[in-house]
Amino acid sequence: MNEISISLNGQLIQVPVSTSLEAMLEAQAVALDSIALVRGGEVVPKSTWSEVECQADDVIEIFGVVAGG
Amino acid sequence: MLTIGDSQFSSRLFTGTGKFASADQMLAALAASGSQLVTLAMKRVDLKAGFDDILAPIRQSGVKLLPNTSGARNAKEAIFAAELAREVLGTSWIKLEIHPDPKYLMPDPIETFNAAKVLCERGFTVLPYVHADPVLCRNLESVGCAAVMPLGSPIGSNRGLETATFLKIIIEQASVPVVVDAGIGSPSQAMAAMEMGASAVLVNTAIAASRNPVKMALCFADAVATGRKAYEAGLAQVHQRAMGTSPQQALTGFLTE
Amino acid sequence: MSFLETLSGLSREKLRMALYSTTAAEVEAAIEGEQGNLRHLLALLSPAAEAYLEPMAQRAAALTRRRFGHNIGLYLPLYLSNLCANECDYCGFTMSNKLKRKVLSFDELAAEMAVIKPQGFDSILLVSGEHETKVGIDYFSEVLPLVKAEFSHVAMEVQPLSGEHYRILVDKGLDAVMLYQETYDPETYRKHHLRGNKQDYGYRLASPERIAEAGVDKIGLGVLLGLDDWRMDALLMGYHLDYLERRFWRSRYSISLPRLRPCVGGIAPKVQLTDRGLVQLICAFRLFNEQLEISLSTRESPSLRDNLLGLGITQMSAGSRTEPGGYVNPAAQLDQFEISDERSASEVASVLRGRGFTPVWKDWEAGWIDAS
Repeated sequence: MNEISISLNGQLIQVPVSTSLEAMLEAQAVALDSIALVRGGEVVPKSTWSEVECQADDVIEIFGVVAGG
Repeated sequence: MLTIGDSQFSSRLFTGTGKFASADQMLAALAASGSQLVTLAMKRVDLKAGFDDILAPIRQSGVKLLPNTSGARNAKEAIFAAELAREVLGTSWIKLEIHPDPKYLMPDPIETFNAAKVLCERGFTVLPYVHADPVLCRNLESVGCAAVMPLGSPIGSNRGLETATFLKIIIEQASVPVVVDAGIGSPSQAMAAMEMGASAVLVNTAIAASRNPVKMALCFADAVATGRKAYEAGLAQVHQRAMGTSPQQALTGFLTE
Repeated sequence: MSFLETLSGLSREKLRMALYSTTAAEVEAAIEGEQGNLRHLLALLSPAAEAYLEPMAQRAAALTRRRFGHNIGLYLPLYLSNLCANECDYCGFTMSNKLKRKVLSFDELAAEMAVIKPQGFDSILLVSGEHETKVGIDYFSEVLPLVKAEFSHVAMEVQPLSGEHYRILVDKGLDAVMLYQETYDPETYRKHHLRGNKQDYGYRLASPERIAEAGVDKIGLGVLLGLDDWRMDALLMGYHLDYLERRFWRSRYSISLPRLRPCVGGIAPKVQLTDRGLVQLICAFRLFNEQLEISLSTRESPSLRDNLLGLGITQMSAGSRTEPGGYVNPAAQLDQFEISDERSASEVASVLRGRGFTPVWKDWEAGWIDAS
């Protein structure tokens, strides 16, 4: 099976070709309803995560909520 | 009741979630405070350390969430943070804070104004954190901010209402709610802000850093409620010292010896 | 640490030196200063402050209005007895004075109250000479409920009692105790108190602590101005007040500033306190303590009383008789001291109104709390 390499929060990881953003996230220990996803500097709306596929060399960042004033 | 944007609040104490010893302690203190609006920050998730989800229990408590843009050093970053927050939390409310200065975290008035303008156009409910600058507050109001959040003193300093003179002017002038944010270190200072006529106060460090945050949260709740009542009741006039203004012996003239 | 110990730890000589070497700048700082500062009180009582009487009065008047509004509380002394087992050379009741001694019977008490009540008073000060055996806790315990049935606020000015006895009286409705040290100078005290229990300077000095511990709502301090250097006595009374307020913060405090007045067989003042001095005292204490109640008796003349009204006074008596049975039978001649303001209560009340004050006939009423 072919794999591609993407950057997730500064780490290089391998995912199978044609993996949706949603599938990629499900492999991570994060609650999907508590995060935002940024690809190449653009926010990717949550509603499209199941359709959009990871591309080779994607730079993806996941943001969540932390305590703060 | 306090109305900001489309929401109403019976508690005029807003709280931050930072600096607590544990998530449990933070939740207990938020509950004790009676706060109906709590702030949260946005951060890139540390995937290695694991994801400590504080959001679920806060959501469960039913309070309204106010994400902030802390960490943003200019308007562009702040706008980006606001978009992220809307994506994560599903709220268009944003506490806009931009501090390019990492030492005192003083808010940048120019960047804040520019970001506020854009965010208001994009449909956000914007609550900008600013210096106690009456003119800036008027300008922010004119571009559509739902409230203004002037500081009492440097953030986290617990120094109280060092800006009292200017807060009074802002309160006098504002036609949107004025939330005194930053620097409130004790219940009496919160009460003083409320007596002055502030619509609400935002308190974080003073509760989180106290020895007993739950107890302190209760104290702030009492102080804010009492201060508001006092404001509504109307404080009696403070008399100025009369020394030197009475050349004639108005009160002691009867003494002829 | 008791106040007696606190007082022993003070150097009177240093305080006296400080009083008499106070500078104008220190007075000015004190007038502007925050309340509760004993250093400032010292400056305000000093000779140097005499030149600042008007600004002191201005500030005292403003502070008093801010705290008390335009209210002046009216009360009346009701003399229960002129029996006294003390020999004090300034007092008309002194043991060796040949005068008809009398303790009010309960019927006589009722008759006195029947005369007083229609005048409007709801705040009464029960006064007696000091006679522990004949006019002691048993008598007071019987009298208090009778008086409490007629007046919502009952104060007492009698001999010092034990803590247990004060508690008994608090249970029966006692609201306030006035107990004046007369002078804080032990040597002067000794000279004027020649026989009887009152010779015990320390027991008297410790009494306000017992009174406070017993839960009395209001405690009155006082010195008899003229027995000793009034500046020193007033200053030490300030220390006493400060001590009590810090420790017994649930109680209210009042002071009285009686000037030594002529009485039958009595002495002349050793140190004359002028009207100017009295004004200085009132203003100094108001600047020292904004919430302090300051009481003015009928020892002072009508015109002086009227002029002192605005400065810091919060309570005054009016239409007083200072002998037991004096309200029913005003002709009696058993006075403790001479009265200077002979005006009736209604006359004084109308003067108050004329000067923009509201006469208030009652003090704080505890009844509604007891009822719950």
